[in-house]
Amino acid sequence: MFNLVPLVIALPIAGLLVNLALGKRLRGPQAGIVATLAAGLAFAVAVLLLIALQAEPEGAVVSLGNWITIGSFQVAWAFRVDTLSVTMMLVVTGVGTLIHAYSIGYMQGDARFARFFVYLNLFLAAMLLLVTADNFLLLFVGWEGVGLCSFLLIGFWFDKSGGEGWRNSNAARKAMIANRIGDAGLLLAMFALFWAFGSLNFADVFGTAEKSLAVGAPLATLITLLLLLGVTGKSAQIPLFVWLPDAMAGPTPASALIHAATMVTAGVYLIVRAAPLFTLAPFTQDVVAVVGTCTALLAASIAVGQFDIKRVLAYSTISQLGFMVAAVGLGAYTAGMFHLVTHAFFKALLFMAAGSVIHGVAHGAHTAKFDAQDMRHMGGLRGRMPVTFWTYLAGALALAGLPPLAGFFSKDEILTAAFEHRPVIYVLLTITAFLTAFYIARQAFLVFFGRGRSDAAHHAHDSGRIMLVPLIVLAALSVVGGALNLPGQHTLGGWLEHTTHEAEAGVFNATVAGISTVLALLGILLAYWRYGRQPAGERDPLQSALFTALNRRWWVDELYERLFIGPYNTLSRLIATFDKTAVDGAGLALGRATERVAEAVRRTQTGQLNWNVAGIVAGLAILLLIVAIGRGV
Amino acid sequence: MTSLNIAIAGALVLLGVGLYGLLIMRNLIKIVIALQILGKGAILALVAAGAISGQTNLGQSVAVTLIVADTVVAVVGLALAVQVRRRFGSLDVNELSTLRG
Repeated sequence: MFNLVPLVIALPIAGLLVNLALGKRLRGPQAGIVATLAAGLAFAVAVLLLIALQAEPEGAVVSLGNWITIGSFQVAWAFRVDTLSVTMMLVVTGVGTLIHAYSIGYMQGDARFARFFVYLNLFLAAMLLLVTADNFLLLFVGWEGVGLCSFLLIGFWFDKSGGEGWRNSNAARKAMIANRIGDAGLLLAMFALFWAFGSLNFADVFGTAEKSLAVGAPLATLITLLLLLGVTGKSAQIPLFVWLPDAMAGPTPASALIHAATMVTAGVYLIVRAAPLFTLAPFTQDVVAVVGTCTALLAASIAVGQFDIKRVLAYSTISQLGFMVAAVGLGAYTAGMFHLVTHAFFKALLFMAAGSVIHGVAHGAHTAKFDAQDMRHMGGLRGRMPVTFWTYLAGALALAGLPPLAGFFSKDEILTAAFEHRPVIYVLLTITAFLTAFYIARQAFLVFFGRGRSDAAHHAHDSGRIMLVPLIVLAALSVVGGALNLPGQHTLGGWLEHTTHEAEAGVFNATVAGISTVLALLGILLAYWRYGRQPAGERDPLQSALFTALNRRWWVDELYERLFIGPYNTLSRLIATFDKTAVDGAGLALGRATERVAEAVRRTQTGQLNWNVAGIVAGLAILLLIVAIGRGV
Repeated sequence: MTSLNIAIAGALVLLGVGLYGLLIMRNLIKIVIALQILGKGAILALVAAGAISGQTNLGQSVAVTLIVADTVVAVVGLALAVQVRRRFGSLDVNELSTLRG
């Protein structure tokens, strides 16, 4: 049964090949159906693997042969089936299939409909390669593959008119570059691993490391810090998080799939996978926890001040990823993975609901210059888009962490872990939880409650069935997702224990749960008081210096512009000037000098015989003179 | 003043006259004549050089060969002069140039 694992990757690839070959000939939604079918079949295979694992929870490694053999160094096409990778597979293919189906409706009528699904399937294949790889190099292939798909999908509408295409492709480049910095860290970590252990295979590396390295060994700290750099790039943590908000330039289904549910969680997965290394480096673990916590708080505060419906969700995603990273930094791997799964449900749901709203509002708009993503133009959509509203509400409450929705349990597990180990982190994360409830309630009130604040909002209508069904499924998962790891039962914890060997602490702290629930309710009440009572006008009720700072995202982008991009551009211009003057100048001067000399010498070539003879005579005279002088006459 | 010195001096004079002729003459026939004078100077110098180095036979046989070659030069040169005269209607070498650039 485990031998089916290559199929999980092969099916999306088959789907993309079909669309690549026949995409132009397929009519209507056919390309989307092919891609959705491929994703759905991959999900079915993942379910089969899940069933197989029930009987044999230790899993297996399936090798398809050698990829690279250099001396004793070997890298195999090997796929790992264990509880961790199958959990990721189920999330990726399950949420992925729903998003594929949703895209059929969302991308309807797009000029490059088939191409979009080729990218989506390519992404699935790369992501599944990432989570099933049995060695760091194969993982890196998937890691780069998802980065490429992210680039392609962010810049998918690169040809939009009015400067928007430029903005989209710039956002894509920004994501690519920020990710590349992180990837460099991952590469260096792999070099260090190879140098230290002579292998990139998970089992070999972790086995050798546990035997040969003491806790706190500098080598382990170095490798894990480099891995962390890779994580900050892919999972949008401080300092590399700036690319994710801009990544919202892509089509909303891509945002939901890549920039909310799956790709950005690759960093969390990497830390959980490399847990044996991180356990050996307590210092790095602290750094991870601090980075995650700071990111969570910073991004949540920025989300409060945004008006773009997708941008709020983007910062929310960064913040929630911060929660997960903080959790794995605290050693609470199960809690991190649990939150990863529930977050995939409710954040994909929120994004697709936002996409449905944008879709509806944009269709209701009659003027050309209209920002269909600005929440100030919305309001009162509750009545016009009931299905979207109710599903959105389920996702929003799950994100806010109200019991008994999925987010409550997963977030609480992280908070409990922080409460037990690091009180400071606990306090910061609890503040973040409060902010989370506030900003998502603010969004809910601005978008769905009150009266419509634009013509488009009055004419908005709910999306088609193909878009609503995935929303309903995800809403159901967001409501009951907490059942995966209920306190006292710890289904997921026991399941993951086979891979992470982390014994779940298993306590449910009533104080922690009570405080976070009360704070979440307070946040929602505050949002109601600020935004829910009367229709918010153009002016935000929070108009103040603080709000400006939040709205301008704490000027982080401007700071980076000053610190890195500006100096880099100056340096580039300097080098370009040097290249144009010194390097090119040398070549040009050589050519010009040759030309001048030739011009001067050309005059002697008169074509007159007498003149030539004079030259001969003069030459002869000089020769004779030299001979005479040589003889000493 | 030995006869050898006189021969070398004569050779130098012939060379000088030949070169001078080449330098200032523009008529093709006169140029051929100047070339001939130049060649005779060379022959005289060869014979003298053979005598000085004690290889009289070698000097003289080379001189004889050169006389033959010289004759060929004269014949070809004059034949050229005839052709040039026919084609260009002039023997002035400065007017023969057709290459412009």
